[in-house]
Amino acid sequence: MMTVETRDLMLRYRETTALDGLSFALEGGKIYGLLGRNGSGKSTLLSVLAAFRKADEGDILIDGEPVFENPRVTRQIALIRENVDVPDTDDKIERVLEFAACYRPNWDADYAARLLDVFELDPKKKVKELSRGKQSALGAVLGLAARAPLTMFDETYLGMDAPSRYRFYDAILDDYIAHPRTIIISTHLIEEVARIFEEVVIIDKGRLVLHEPVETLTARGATVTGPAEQVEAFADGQTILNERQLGRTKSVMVYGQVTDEQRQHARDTGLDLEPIALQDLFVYLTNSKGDAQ
Amino acid sequence: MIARSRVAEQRHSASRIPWTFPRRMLEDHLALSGLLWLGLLVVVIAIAVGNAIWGSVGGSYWDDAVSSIPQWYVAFMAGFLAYSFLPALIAHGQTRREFGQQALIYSVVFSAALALLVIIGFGVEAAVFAVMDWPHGIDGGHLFTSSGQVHLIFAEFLMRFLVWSSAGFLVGAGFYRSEEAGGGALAVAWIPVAITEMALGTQYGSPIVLFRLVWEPPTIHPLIVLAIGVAAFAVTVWMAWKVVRDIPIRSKST
Repeated sequence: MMTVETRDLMLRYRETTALDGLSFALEGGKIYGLLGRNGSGKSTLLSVLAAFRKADEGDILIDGEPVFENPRVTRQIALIRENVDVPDTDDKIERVLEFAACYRPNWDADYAARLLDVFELDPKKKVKELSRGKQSALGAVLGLAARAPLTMFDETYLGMDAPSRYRFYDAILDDYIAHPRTIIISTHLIEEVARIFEEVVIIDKGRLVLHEPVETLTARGATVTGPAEQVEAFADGQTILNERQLGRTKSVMVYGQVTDEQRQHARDTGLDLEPIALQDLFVYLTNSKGDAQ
Repeated sequence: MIARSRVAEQRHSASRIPWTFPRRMLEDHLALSGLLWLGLLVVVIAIAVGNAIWGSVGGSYWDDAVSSIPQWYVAFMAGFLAYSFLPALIAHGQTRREFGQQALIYSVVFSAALALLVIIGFGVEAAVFAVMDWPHGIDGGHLFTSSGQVHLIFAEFLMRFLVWSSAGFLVGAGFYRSEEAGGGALAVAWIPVAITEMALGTQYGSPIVLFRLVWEPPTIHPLIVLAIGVAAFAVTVWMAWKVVRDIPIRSKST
């Protein structure tokens, strides 16, 4: 199981700082969600982790080894980006899979063939003839069938319709269970894919906002639903992330630790308490006015 | 024990995989090159026949054809290799150094194979001319003076193709890196090509025309010409490596 560690990563594009002293450590054998707003540095981070580009400063250790120009490590990494990396878009899908099979030490051709069926991809079709969603599906096939010990998907779902996206998430989970490895998924569709995350890394402006297990993160707050008066009394003095009301029933999302006493009190007064939605929490934590720390 | 077998497995895969790419590229590109060679040869013979019917025939039409067209072809193929295959291979777990080594192997074998096709072309043309009793000869601007000097034809064209392909690779890699780097690569890549062609005494075409406007080079011993060509190749490979060694793989639209 490949571990990932970054220390004080810095990367600049001319005047823009994409990664700004980013440090974190990921254990191997888990599915991580990498979340961040547009321009937060997610794609840059994944590119650096996969040795697609070199960091200006700082260290990256994959399984304890530097990654840049290290073939022992780069062989074990698959980064699938929003655009499929193929030599020639004039190539047919079957040719693209043959190409991948040459370079991926753990390539599973049978699994790749099954995935083509799952995503309804015709191996005789040329890459350039595929729709945006089908190109993303091809990326999903390349990423999953590579069975790389460190697999990263950078918004690979773009253009996929909802059924395809759910097939993709199911395929990730099924294959992860059968062949455990370290998987990092960068996405904006947080609620759709949150169910398969074990831990979440949130970055903003190239800096780490938080890295926590999903359970811990969602326990940072609660969604309280019930009669409006009781809900308002419960939420009084707390940070409210979101609120909705329908008739006399109100639902409020509060940020902050809910104590056992508060939970018991809520139940006694007929309120429903549910974990906070990851997406709402993300919005709060990455909002420029939010106090993430 | 497990760690040892893992390292051995990684070594195995590291030693097995890198040669796949040149082999597959060569299979594809040599098949295409063979067809193009055949087409060019047919056109050259057709021109000779046409000249024999409607004018006078003599010299070597194959010489004219292979003195510029294949050079641009190998430069284009090497540029395509750098621009398209470099990012794809890095994305599939190869390193830039491995890609550079494999590209070098590809260039040497591809250039040698094309040099052999050039030799065969000269042989076919000479045979046709002999059968038809047409005068066959080679103009200046070469290391060889007749189509029978196979070793000199091979040495010259291998050298020329290597220099042109390294220049094409440099330009392709430069433009992949950035427009500015591409412009810079274009500005310097023609210099080793021009120096090599001038050393050979090539008369027309190619980038040497610019030089020839101001300076007529003296005749140089073949071994010195080859040394100049090898040096030009080495310098261009070195420049290309400077461009590639930390080249960022950017996101592209497919």
